[in-house]
Parts: sequence; C-alpha cells; structure tokens
Amino acid sequence: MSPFLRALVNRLIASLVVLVGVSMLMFAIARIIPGDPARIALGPNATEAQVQALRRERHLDQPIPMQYWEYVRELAHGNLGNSLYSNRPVRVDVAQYLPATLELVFAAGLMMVLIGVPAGVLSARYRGRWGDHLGRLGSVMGVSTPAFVWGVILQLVFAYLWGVFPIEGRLTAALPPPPPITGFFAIDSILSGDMRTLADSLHHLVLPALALAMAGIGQTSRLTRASMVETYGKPFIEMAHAYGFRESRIAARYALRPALVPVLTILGLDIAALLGNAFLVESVFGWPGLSHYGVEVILHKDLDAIVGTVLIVAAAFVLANIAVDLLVAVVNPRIRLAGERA
Amino acid sequence: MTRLACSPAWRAFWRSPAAVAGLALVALVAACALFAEFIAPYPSHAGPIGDFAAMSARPSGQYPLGTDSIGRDLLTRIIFAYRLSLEMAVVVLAIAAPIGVVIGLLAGYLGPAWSYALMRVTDVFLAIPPLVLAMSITGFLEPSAIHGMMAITMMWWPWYARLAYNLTRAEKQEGYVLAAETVGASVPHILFREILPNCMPSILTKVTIDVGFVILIASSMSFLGLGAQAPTPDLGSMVADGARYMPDAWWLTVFPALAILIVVMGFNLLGDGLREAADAAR
Amino acid sequence: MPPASAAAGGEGDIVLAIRNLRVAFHGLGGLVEALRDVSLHVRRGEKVALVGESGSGKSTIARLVLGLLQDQGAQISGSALLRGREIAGGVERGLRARDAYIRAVRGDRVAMIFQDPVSALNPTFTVGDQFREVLRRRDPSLSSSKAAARARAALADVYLHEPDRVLGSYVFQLSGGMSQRVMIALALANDPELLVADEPGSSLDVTVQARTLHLMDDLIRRHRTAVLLISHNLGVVREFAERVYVIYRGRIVEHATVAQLFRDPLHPYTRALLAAIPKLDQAQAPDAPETSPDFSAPRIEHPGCSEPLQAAA
Repeated sequence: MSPFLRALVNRLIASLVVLVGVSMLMFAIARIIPGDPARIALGPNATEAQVQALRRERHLDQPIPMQYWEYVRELAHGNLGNSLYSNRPVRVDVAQYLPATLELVFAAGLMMVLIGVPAGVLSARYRGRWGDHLGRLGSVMGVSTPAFVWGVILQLVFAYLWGVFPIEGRLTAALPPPPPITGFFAIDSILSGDMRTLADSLHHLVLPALALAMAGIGQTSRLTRASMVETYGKPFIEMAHAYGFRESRIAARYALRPALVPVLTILGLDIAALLGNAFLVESVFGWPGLSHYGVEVILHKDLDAIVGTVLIVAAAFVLANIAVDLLVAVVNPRIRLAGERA
Repeated sequence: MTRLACSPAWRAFWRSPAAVAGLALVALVAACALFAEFIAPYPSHAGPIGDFAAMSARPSGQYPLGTDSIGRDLLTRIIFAYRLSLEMAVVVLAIAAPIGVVIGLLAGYLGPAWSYALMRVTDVFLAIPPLVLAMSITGFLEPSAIHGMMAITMMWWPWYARLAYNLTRAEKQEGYVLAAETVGASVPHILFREILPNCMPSILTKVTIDVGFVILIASSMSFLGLGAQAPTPDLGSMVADGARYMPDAWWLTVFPALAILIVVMGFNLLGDGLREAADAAR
Repeated sequence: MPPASAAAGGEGDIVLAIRNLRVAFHGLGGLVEALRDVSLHVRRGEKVALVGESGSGKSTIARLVLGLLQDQGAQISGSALLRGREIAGGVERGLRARDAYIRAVRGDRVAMIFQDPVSALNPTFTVGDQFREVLRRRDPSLSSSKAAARARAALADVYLHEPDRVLGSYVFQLSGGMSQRVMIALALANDPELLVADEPGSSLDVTVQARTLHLMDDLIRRHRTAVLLISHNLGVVREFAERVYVIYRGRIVEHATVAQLFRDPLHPYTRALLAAIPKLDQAQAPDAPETSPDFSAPRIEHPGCSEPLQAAA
C-alpha cells in the first residue's frame, strides 16, 4: 500500500476515534447538566407516575455509562433516538433538514472559491495599487462582520429596497418542491427536468449563500493574495520572468498552482466551518435547514435531538476536512508521491 | 520604555496605516467600555426604561443614532454593549488561553502517547463547528450571558492548544531546549521558563485577534437568543430585535451591526499589525 | 545551425556589450551603488567569465541582462547593448521599446541558468510541462506532441537517459545532478545566442559539478552559444572560460584571458583571490587580506584585452 494510502487510512481511523469522542462529549454534557429531561418533556402538569414511566422507557434511570452503551447500540443500528420536540425519530428529522443546510453550504463554498481566489490573484498581481488596497479593506470588513449582519444588510438592500431577490424561504410559496431525490432543490430540479423550479430555487439561494460566504470570501482572498505574494518571491518565478513567460500566464497558472497549496487547506477548513455559521443565515432568511431545527431543540432541551444533530454536523465537518486533504494531495504532487524517488 | 519605542518592531507597527487604524478603533471601544457612564448621553437608557415620548425615533440631534421600540437611546445602549462585549472577551480568553496553552505545551513536549491522547481530545472539541458547540452547551443551560461565556470558553481553548502544540514541537528541536535538558532542568522549568516565552509573540497576537472573534461569536449567539437577555444591552440581540422592524426602522439594525463591525475590525487590524511587527523584529 | 546574429547591428559578432554601466538601488540608508562604471563584452561562441565574491555585483549584471532589474526601481545609467539593441539606459521615450525588446528576447535569444536548479524549477509542474512552456516561447502554436519530441531530444543532448520518465517527473523526484542537466537542457532548448550562467553547479558536489560543466561546454561549442559565466569559483573559471573579468565591489578591476590571469595576475585584488585558493602542497590556506586599500586600484587590462570601440547606440 502506498504511503499516501496508508496515511489516508490512518486519518479515517483517527476521525472515527474523534467522532466517538464527540458522541461521548455530547452525551456527557447532556446527561450531566442539571434538569430532568423527562419532566421537561412532559411539562409541569404531568403526574409523577407519567414522568417515571417516561424515565424508565428512555432508560434515564440507569447509570450514565449504561445509558451511553444503550445509545451506542442504537447508533449502530442507525438509530439516533427520538425527538421529544417533533415526536419523530431524530434520523427522520435530520434527513429532512440536513440537505437544505448542505445546499446552502455548498453554494457558499462555491462562491468562496469562485470569487475569493480570483480576487486574491488580482490583488497580488496589482499589489500596491488602489484596487489592491480596496480589496484588502473589503476582505477585512468581510471577515469582521458576522454572517447574520451580512444577511440582514443584504436582505435590506436587495430584497426589501430593490426587490431583486426574494426575502426568505427556499422556494416561492406557490411553487411545489421538486421530487426529493437528493434533497438538494437545485439538483432535484435538474434531475426531474423542471427548469422553472431550478431557476426559482437558485434565485432563492443567492442571498443566503452570499451572506454565508462573505466572511469566507474575505478570508480566501486575503489568503490567496498572501500566498501569491510569497510565491512571487520564489526562485522559480524569477526563472519564469527570465524565460519571458507572459505576466498573465504566470499569475493564472505558473504561480497560482504552487500558491494554492497552503490556501486549499485553510479554504477547506473554512468551508467546513460554514456549517456552523449556516445557523445564523438560516435564521435571517427563514431557510428550513438543520439550524432552525437545532435552535428549537436546544431551546426545548430535547437531548436526543441535540446530541444527534451535533453528531451529524460533526461527522459532516470531519468528512469535509478529509475531502479537503484529499484535494490538497491531488494538487500538490509532493504529498501524493512522497517517498517515491525517480 | 524608550528602548521599546525605538525597536524595529515598534517602528514597523507605526509604519502600517492599517495597524494604527486598528489601534485607534480598539482605543475607541475600550474608552466606551471603561467610561460608559460618562460618555453615554443617557446612561439610564441602558436599563429597561426609555423615553416613552420618543419611541422608534429616527436619528436626530437629540438621539444621534435613534431610539429603539421603547424609546431607549441607541448610542447609549451601544456604548454599554461594548462594555459587556469586552468583559466577555476578556473573561473568555483569560481562561481559555492559559488552559489551552498548557495543554498544548504538554502535548508538544511530552512523549508520543501523551501527544496522541491530548491532541485527540483537542480534535474532539475542534470537530464540532465552533458556533454549534457553543450553542449546544448554552442550550443545555438557561440562556444567559454567563452561560454563554462558559460555552464559548469551552469551545475556544482547543485553538490555543493546537497553536501551542505546533509551536512547542518546533521549539523542541532548538538548541536552547537541548541545553536545558542536558543541564537537568525540570520539565515545568523547560516548558514555562524556556519554551513558553518564545511562543508568547504568536500567542499574544492570536489573543488580540481573538478578542474580535469572541465578540463576533458572542453576538452571533445572542442574535439567536442564547446570550445576554433583555434588558441588558447586547449588540447581537439588538440586531435581532431590530430585524423585526426592517426595513422601516432601519437604524435599529444597521447601527448595532456597524458597531460589531467596528470592534471586530479594530481588533483584527491591530492583531495583524502586531503580527507583522513581530515578524519584522525577527 | 541558426544564422549569425543578423540583428546584432554593426559590430559583427558581439552579442553583449556593456559600456560604463552604473546601477544604484534605493536602500534603507539612501542610494546604494551596485555597479560602478562597468564595461565588458561577449562575442558569439565565446566563453567569458565574471569572477568576484558575493556582493560584488556580478548577479546584478546577470539580472540586468535578463531584464529582471529594470522594473525594480533601480537607477540605471550607461549602456548595455544586447544583440545591438539598448537594454539598460535610454531616454524616457525609449523605455517602453527597451522593455518590450527585452521581453521579446529573453527565454528565446537569451537564456539563464540558475544557481540552484531544484528551487528554480516549479515544484507543481512536471519537467515536461516546463519544457512545453519554454518551447512555446519560441513557437506559441507548438503542439504537445511536437514539444515532447523536442524535449526528448534536448534531454538526450544532456545525456539524460529514460527521457520519458524524466519528462513525467517533478523536480523533487530528481537528483541534484539530473535537475542541473534539465536546467541546462531548458536553457538551450530554444538555441539562444547568449547564455548567462549564474554559479552553475555550485549547489552540487564537486564531481557532479565537473561532469555538468563538461557537458555544458560540449553543448555550447556545438551551438556556438555565447556564454557569460558568473562565478566565485576560480577553479571552474579556469576549466571553462576563455576570458575573465574580475569584479570587486561593483567595479571591474582586471580583464585578461584565462592563461594571462592565472600566470600573471596584476591587480592586488586578483592576487589576493588567487592566493586564497588552498593548494595541495600547502599545509593550510594562506592568509589573504579581506580588504585592503590596494584593492581600489584602477582597472588593469592585459594585452589584447580591451573593450571594442563602439558606435553610439
């Protein structure tokens, strides 16, 4: 097995260990925090007998390690427990809301790459000129503003004032959602050939994704610029100049590829971090994603749902990180071919 | 002090307009926090009672940034909110940074078993997106400023652990560490008297930038209702409250939002400036 | 064989002619002079060495010839004619034309070999990719297959076997000696008229360096390329060059053929340089003075070594 493959396997194992740790952590927090979940679920009017019955049913009267063991057993069967808030298995809730959040995150990630990287490249190529300074100021502002602020401002300007984009939601109320194949409205629309729904869902996607992506765009642009500037100082760029390569070609290809390597890692982490900030944007735009569900179950102290949601989000986060590392390995031959001498 | 003022790091700092701007913004915010009672035009509006004659008033000479739905001066509330923000950030970092750094130092210096164990624990906390972790912890408790602080602290220390871990692993190879080991210095001595001082510039730079980010996360949480509760003035909850009156009473959202931008940007620029100055010094 | 430099103006086969060149940079403390009144020339097929210690300004000359200096905000005065056209000084109006000319010519008619081949080649592109980029400088419409064929021929010229494997490799997969040969092959791929070699092989160990230099010598003779060899290593100079300029602190202090220089060094600085070479029959390296007021003695030219008279540019 090549050393690269071996490293990947190690990474997966470590990630598994980490996820187990996450489940333990969330579980411990959930069970240790004061308050009686059964009592909270049933409300103050329920009788003691009812509360006890619920406690027995949910194994809440057993010692914590036993409870954890029960939980893990259920988990192995793909069962994340039941939500007291929605009265459905958590798994079902997650399956319903997660795709909406993921669609938002992907769209924002795409924007980060397609806007942030070129902005950074241009900034580096014309460094010192006013465009560069403007870009850098914009980046700092982007990074310094929370996603919900961007959401509110974008909503104010583009939805309320100028009416270019819809104020909230994933689809116009009159339009039925596409058949749920992946849960991603855009993809499902394409798969079922419904162009109108596709256009409408994309239209609704723009503002929330942009609000979510703003900080990331700023960060990506700063990072790309810094990396490009550093790469421009390297000997192989001086050689490229000496050999008369065109400046635009150097910027777009010759310098960009080695410069992207450090950027990609952090870019990946940032995209994964979008999962957390999605909560804020979903709130502003009424986006029916995991966050709305998450906030509700938190306020209701719906323990199973909270633990399950966090576990899923953490798993997505970890997988995203691994995907990023794989991508980096593809772009950086040094990692891919480590240990192989010509 | 004069020697410090003439050092290359100091000069590099003052040469950068961004860094100086950051310092100015931070100074402004700090002044608000420290002297809120004296600077704010209507100190009593920081509480639950406002001027009922001027509810949701537009910005004017009397109320420069307008008033909220119960007639409280927005400028005053923002100034007091700055105090809360800075308090939170200071408390959080004063606890999270030392804990994280110590764990990172230990993980970086001690044997591979310790490294693996400590870093995996750190990874567990880092595997959960920051906001999600803080939110869930707060959610288990009653939402309040204190619980919010606790939650953010719990989620912040891993970043310092990771930073200290990477720094320690690099420093471990340096000559002065080998020298200390040969002389038979104790592990605490090596960690805290030898390695830690060399890591301080990076750590302090991170702390400075983090003040801004703690405030950002805290405002995000209070936006969702998981932070300071009414009537305490808090930037995030002010934006949330104001959002309900959009787009008519736009000042209720825009000004607190700008206030967040100012403080976070200030600390960001200041931290960047410090980092560049530290690099120049080397 | 490519034609003799028809574009070189009226001086026959002089490829590079530098006259009274002065280069100054804006440093922290003010203006710093890197080159003072430097004059030298290289003819077609000649191997000319520029010898000096680090900081003497020899790298500055290399970069000037490749046009890497002109947009760094340096103050340049004097003249440098490359193939008969001005690339250094020049009036305000002519600067655009000057820059355009150098940009048109470098990589094609003028090439440079860098000191450390491993860092001079892009780590994320294969050797084949980089050959393609360089070959397309000459002929932008070159197809990938033709470029690969030419690259293979170039690699065969430097005696690199298994050319396809080398073309598919990244630079970190090659040994130092192989990278240096790739560098030489790249430089000569477009058959340039002038080759500037900045400390070639100095990052390699001695035996590999010797082999590499022999190889370079062979190729250059075949192509009749003019070479400006920049080095601090007198041994390399002796083996490889025909004429030598000694540079000290931005000034040329001696100009001689290799035979003349080693047999009869006249300038005090040259003598100090030669004395500093440890000889096999000496117990230790002799004490050569680091600096001395004698080093500022004016330029000494040996018989037969003067700058050619030059018509105004």
